[in-house]
Amino acid sequence: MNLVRAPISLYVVGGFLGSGKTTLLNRLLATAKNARVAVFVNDFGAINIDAALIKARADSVIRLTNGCICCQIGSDLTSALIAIIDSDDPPQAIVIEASGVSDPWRIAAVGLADAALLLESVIVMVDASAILEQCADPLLADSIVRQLRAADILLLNKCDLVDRAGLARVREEIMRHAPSPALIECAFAQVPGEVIGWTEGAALKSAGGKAIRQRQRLPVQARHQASTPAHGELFQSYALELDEIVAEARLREMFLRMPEGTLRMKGFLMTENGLVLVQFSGSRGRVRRLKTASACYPLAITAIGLAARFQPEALTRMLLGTRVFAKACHSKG
Amino acid sequence: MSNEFESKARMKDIVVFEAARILTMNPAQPLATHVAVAKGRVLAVGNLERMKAYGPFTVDRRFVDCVLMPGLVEGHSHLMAGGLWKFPYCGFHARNDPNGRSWEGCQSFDAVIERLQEIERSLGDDDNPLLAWGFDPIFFGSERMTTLHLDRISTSRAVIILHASQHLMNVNSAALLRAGIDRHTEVEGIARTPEGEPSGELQEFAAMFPIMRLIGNIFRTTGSSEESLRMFGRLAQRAGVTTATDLVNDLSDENVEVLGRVTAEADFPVRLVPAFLSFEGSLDATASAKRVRARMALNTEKLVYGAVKIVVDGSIQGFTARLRWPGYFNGAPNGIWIRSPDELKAMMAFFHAEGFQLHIHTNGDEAVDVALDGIAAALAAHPRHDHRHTLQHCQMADDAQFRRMAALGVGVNLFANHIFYWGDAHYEQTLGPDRAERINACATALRHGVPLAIHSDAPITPLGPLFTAWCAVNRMTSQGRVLGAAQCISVDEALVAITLGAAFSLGMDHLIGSIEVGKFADFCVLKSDPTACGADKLDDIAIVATVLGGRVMTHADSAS
Repeated sequence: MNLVRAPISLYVVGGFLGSGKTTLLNRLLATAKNARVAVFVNDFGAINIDAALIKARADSVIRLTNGCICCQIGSDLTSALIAIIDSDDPPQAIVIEASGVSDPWRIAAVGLADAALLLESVIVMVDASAILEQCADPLLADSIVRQLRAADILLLNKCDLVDRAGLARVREEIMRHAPSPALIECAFAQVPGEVIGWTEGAALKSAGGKAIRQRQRLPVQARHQASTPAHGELFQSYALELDEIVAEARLREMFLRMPEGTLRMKGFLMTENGLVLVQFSGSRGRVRRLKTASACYPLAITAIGLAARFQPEALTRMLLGTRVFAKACHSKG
Repeated sequence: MSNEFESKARMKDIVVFEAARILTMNPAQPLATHVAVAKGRVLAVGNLERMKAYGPFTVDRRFVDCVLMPGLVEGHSHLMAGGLWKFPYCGFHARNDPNGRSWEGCQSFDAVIERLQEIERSLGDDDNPLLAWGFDPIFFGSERMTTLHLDRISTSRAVIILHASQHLMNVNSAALLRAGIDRHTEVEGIARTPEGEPSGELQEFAAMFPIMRLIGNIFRTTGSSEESLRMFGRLAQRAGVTTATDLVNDLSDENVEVLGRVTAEADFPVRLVPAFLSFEGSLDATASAKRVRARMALNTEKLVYGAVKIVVDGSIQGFTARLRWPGYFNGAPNGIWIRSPDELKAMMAFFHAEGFQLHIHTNGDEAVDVALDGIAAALAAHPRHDHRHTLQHCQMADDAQFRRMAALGVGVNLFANHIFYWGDAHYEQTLGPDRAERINACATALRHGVPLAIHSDAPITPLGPLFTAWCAVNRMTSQGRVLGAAQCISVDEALVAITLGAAFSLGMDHLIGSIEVGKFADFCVLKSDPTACGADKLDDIAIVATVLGGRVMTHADSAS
C-alpha cells in the first residue's frame, strides 16, 4: 500500500529564445536552499552550473550537492516526468523549461491533470528589448501572443536595455495582447522568489517532506499580517489564517474581483467539499480539491502584491466573506 | 584479359530469376523476363539468352507466373508501425498486421466495443489494462465515443484506446478512476458530458499524462524494442517493401545497438534508413552532427545512417500545421512552429554546411515557405550540388512553391495516403475546396521536374506503397470524392515514385529502386501486372514475396 505522497510543486518557464529563461533557471537552482528541486531543460549546453556545486554528472542528469537535479528532457517529456514522479526519492518541486516558441500552458496543464503534481505558476519571460520587433513579425506574432496569454506571471526582462519611453511602449503592447496585471519588470531575471511563488512553494514543503506534517497555526490574534514595505521595496507580502469552512463557489467568485495590486495568492482552505488549494496569480484563479489529508497543511492564505497599490484590508474582507459560517449567522439573525 | 577471366570465375553462384514479366524501372530497358543475381546484386537483365554471358547459372522458376518489380521503397515511415501491433487495432479502415492477418475496419462504435469485448473475455483475472489503437473520431461525424461505450467492455479493467493521431485517447471509467481524473480535474483537454463529468476522451499531453503514467508510457516506448523491429520488418515485407525509413530516431546507443543487431540477421527482410532528429533540441547542433557521423561509420548494406530530419510545423488535421492566408477553413487559429523560423533556418544552414541531407517536415504552406527560405539561404552561403534536401509531407504546396523547389534542387515526398484518409476532412473542415483539391500535388511536382516520392507515414496510415500509388493515381477519398482530378498521375509515374523516386529521396538511387546491373537484387514479387490491371485495381494486387539481396523472403519466413 503506497502512502499518499504530497503533490510535487510544478513551475513552467516559457519565453522566446533570448528572453532569459536559463538565467532564471540558474537562479532558481542556486536559491533552492533546503528544497529538493528537479529542473528540466532542453539543452544542458545553455545551463551554467557552478562546477563546485556539481556532485555527479551523467548523460541526461546532473546532480547537485544541494540535493537538486537538472535533467535534460530528451526524446520525450512524458517518460522523463514519469521517471521522476515515480522515483523512490521524488523532488519537492519540478521546474520545466518550455521550448522557445511553444505554448507553456500545454505543458503546465499537466500540473492540474495529475494528482501527483501541483501547478504553482506559469512564468513567461519577455525580452523587453526585442518584444516589439517579435510582435511585428508576421511569422512569430501569434506564437508570442499565445505565450503572453498563457502566463500567470510575465517577467519583463532586460528592462535595463530599454529607456523609459520604450518601456511604456512595451507595456502598452503587452497589455494590448494580454491584459494581465502580473507584469513584473526586471533585469538579469532578478525577482524575489515570492513573486513567482517560489519560496512559498518550497517553504511549505521544506519542513514536511513527502507525507504528513502537522498543521501550523498562525498567532490567533493576528487575523491578517501584512508586512510594511520598506522604503523603496516593490513588493509587499501578506498572510491570513483562516481555518473556518469557506464556500467553494464564493472563492471562485472572488477571483473575478480581486483587489488591485494583488500579484499572487496561495493557500489551503477547508470548504464544504473538503480541503482545497487556492491559487491566484495575475488574473487567473484556481481552486483545486485535494485528496491529501488536511493535517498536511496550515489552513491559511499567503499573498504578495505591488507595494504601491496593494490593499491588504480589502483582501482580508474578501477572504472572510467567503466563510460559510458568516453567512449562516447572518441569515439566522 | 585476366581481369575479365577473374571476374567471370568469381561469379560461380549465379541464380537467374525467371518471371512472366519484369518491370525494371530502368528507362533504358523497361521490360525483361530474366534477371541474374550474384553476390546479392543484379548481374544481368534481359531474356534467357542474355543470361548466358557470365557462364553457368541456376534458374529459379518459382516466380515464373508472377511479375517482378524493384523492391518497393517506403520513404517516410516509423518503426512504431510494427510495435503497435502488440495491441489490438480498432481503426475505421481495414489493416493487415505483421502476421498477415487482415483486421476488419471498425466502422461503428459497436464494432470497436465488440472487438474489445472479445479480447477482454480472453484475458485472465489480472487487472492489467487493455490497450488498443487506431481509432479516429473524424469518421464518425459529430458522434463522440464516451465511457458509456467503453464501460461495456469492462467496469473493472482499465480500457484505453489511443487515437490514430496519437494526440488523443478514449478511456473507460475504470481508467479514469485509476488515473485520478474526475469532474473536479480542471484541465482543458478533458472532454466532458453535458453534466460536466469527464466523457473519457482525453486530448493532448497534459490530459493524457495521468493515463500514460498508469500504463508506463507503453505506446511511446514500444517502437524501439527488438520485438517491435522484427514486427516492422514483417509488416514491410508483406507490403513488398525492401527498403524503409524510420524518419524520427535519436540514434541513441540503445537504438543503435538494437538496429545493428537485428538488421544484421540474414532473414531480417528490409534495409533500414533511420533519420536523425534531436528531440526538443536536446543535443546541440555540433553534438548532433558528431553523433550522426559516428553512426555513419557503422553503416552496412542493410542499415544506412546519415539522413537528418528537421520538423517545422504540426499536422493539418490536428490544426497545428502553419498555413498562409486564408488560414484554416473552419476559422481555427494558425498552427505551431516546432521551433522559431529563425532557429529552424539556422539548423538547416548548419546541417547543410556540414554536408548532410535534410528531410524537412512541412505540412502547411507557410511552413514550406520557411523551409525554402532556409534552404535558399543555406545554398547561398554554401553552394552545393545534388544536396537532395527533401520536403516531407509538403501537402499544401502550390504551383509557385514547386517552381521554387525546382530552382533550388529540392525534392518532395508527398503524403498521398492523406487524400484517401483525410481528403474529405480537408475539403469540408480544414482547408476548404480550393486548397483541398491541390493537396499532395503530385502532377504539379512532376510538371516542374521536382523529384517525387510518395509515402504512408506509417503508422499514421497503413504501410503499403501500392496503396499509396493507388491514392496518387486515383485521388479518391474514403467517401468516394475525387479530390483534384488535375493532380492525378499515371500508373507508370506512381510506380516510379514508390521505387526509384523514393530511392532518390534517400540518396540511394545508385543502389536500389530499379532492376539494373550493379544494384542490390531487391525485388517485389507481384501476382499480376500493375500496369495492366487498371488504375483503380492497383491496390488489389497481391504481394507474393520479396527478394532482398538475392535472398527470397516469403511471408511464411517472415511470420516465423
